[in-house]
Amino acid sequence: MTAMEHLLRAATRETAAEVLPDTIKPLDMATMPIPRLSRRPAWRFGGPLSPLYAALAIVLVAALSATLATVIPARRAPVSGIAGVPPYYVALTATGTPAARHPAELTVRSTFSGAVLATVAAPAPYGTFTLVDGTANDRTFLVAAMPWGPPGWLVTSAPLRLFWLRYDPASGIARLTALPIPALDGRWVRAASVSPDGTRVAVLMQNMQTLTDSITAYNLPGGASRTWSVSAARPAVLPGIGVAPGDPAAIAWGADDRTISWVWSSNPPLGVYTLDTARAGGELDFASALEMTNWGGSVYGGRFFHCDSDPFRSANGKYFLCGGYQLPGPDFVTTVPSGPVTQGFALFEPGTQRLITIAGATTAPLRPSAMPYLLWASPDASTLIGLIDGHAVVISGGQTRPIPWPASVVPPRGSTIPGAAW
Amino acid sequence: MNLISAGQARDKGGSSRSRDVTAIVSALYAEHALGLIRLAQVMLGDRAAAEDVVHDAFYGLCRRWAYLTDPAKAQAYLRSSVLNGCRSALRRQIRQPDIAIVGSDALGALSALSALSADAPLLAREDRRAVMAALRRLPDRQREALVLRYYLELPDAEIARAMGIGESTVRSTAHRGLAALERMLTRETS
Repeated sequence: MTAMEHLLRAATRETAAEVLPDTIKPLDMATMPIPRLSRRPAWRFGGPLSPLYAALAIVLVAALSATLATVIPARRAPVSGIAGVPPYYVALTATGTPAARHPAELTVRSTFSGAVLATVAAPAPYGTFTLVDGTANDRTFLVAAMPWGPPGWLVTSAPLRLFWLRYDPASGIARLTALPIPALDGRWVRAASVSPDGTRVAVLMQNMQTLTDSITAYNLPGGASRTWSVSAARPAVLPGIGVAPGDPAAIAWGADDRTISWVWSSNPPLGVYTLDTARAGGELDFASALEMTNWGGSVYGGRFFHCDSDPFRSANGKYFLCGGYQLPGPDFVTTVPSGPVTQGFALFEPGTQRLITIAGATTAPLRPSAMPYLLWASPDASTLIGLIDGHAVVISGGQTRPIPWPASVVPPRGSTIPGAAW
Repeated sequence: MNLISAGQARDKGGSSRSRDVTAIVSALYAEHALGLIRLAQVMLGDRAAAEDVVHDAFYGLCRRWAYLTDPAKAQAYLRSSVLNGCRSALRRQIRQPDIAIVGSDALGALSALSALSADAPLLAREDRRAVMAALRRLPDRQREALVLRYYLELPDAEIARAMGIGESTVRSTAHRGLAALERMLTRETS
């Protein structure tokens, strides 16, 4: 154990010892919830109907096996859309708990009905989808697949392959095509983004041997690449922000097909940076410019807006967007009141960091499991899709309309594996 | 302690079952509350918030009792709940950008590095405060990985289960967190 480890162990133990045994408050029995004593749904595979359940299970398994043997079309839902809203999205799904742990298949779904339009199994030898991202074409998606290792964890040193997923609404069939770039070995791919013209792919990854984060931009076709890595002199505390950086996250191409925005992720997010890919490869933090930080100037209507999720730049570069909530006053406070607060998606002006508007503003108490999360934005940020207070909504033309959000689809938050993309 | 399983609780009748589960949860609280509040105190540095998080974890256990197929896993469930609760509590805190480690504190902490051993006596109050301040400025996952490893001394496999990540990620996260901690303390002294 190093000296630093000894120091940390001693500091944490002494801090913990401040809590003395005889100072523990008892549980408030008056507010103890009534225990739930049965599971929901209450399936029981016992009793006189057991043979019937067994027969039913066999029929279902046989039918599913035949269905999932290849790429298959499912029932086609009528798409009655909203102008400017992509009609389809792709969700990574799995049967495990939590589902994000082992997404062995993906589903193409209707935005407006939530119906499954096609199901695709992860190809051999990869077996697991680990990432999905949208493109400028609403029927083409970028997905990543890699092997899954026992006892159920991702093997971060295994090769990862990127694929196009193309969905044909006419036939209801979705097909995978490998991207013409090499498989990525020994790297944990944290995010990927396709340039608006579809000719470049940026991949944010971590080398599992050196623990170095980097962004690599590939040209398609051909696969020529350029890489920017976090410098060895990784900043201990970000200048002007005062918090240690976590990992880079949330990469997104600009409409110019040249710049990439990315975030020093932490909690809360620290700042949005822009990387000019025309520059020579090198050190990511030195090659990028700080565009926005959530620490200052985020006051709207006399109240401070706090980004709870990683902000990103709209494709046209005119806004930074994030999901979050407003505090009761214009100043930083250490805690949020437990009562109702305004939640929604904030649009900030680059440069000034001025908060222009809060789209989909909803007043409700904050729930940690249902914090606002922005899932998709049109290039000009006039149309948004996201989760507010646990409900999926489309915001367009000043109107907020609910859309189905299947419980089996895991939103990206809290997981290393994004769950859905438009 | 002796526990009855969720199945046993379900086999009993009417509201007496609820009372049984409530009694079991209360007994679990008596046994584990101190350790969990101390864990939350390390994570949050706020005694009242730490108690709130732990109480919420026990109420959550009570609500979800039927889903706890193995009562022996109650402690692991509670630990994960407390970690999640701490994360949520921190999420609702706006960290002051100008909070910095006081230079002299960090200097003391750093000088203590060379003198420390496993049997070292208590740290100076300022040293400990400097280390804990730096720890709380780390990203969530790094902080959790370090606390679980160096305070609770859990093996990587158990840390992975508690945090819902892979073992290799635990190792890389802890490695990175430790390096960041050292850099922060070093930077403040330079």
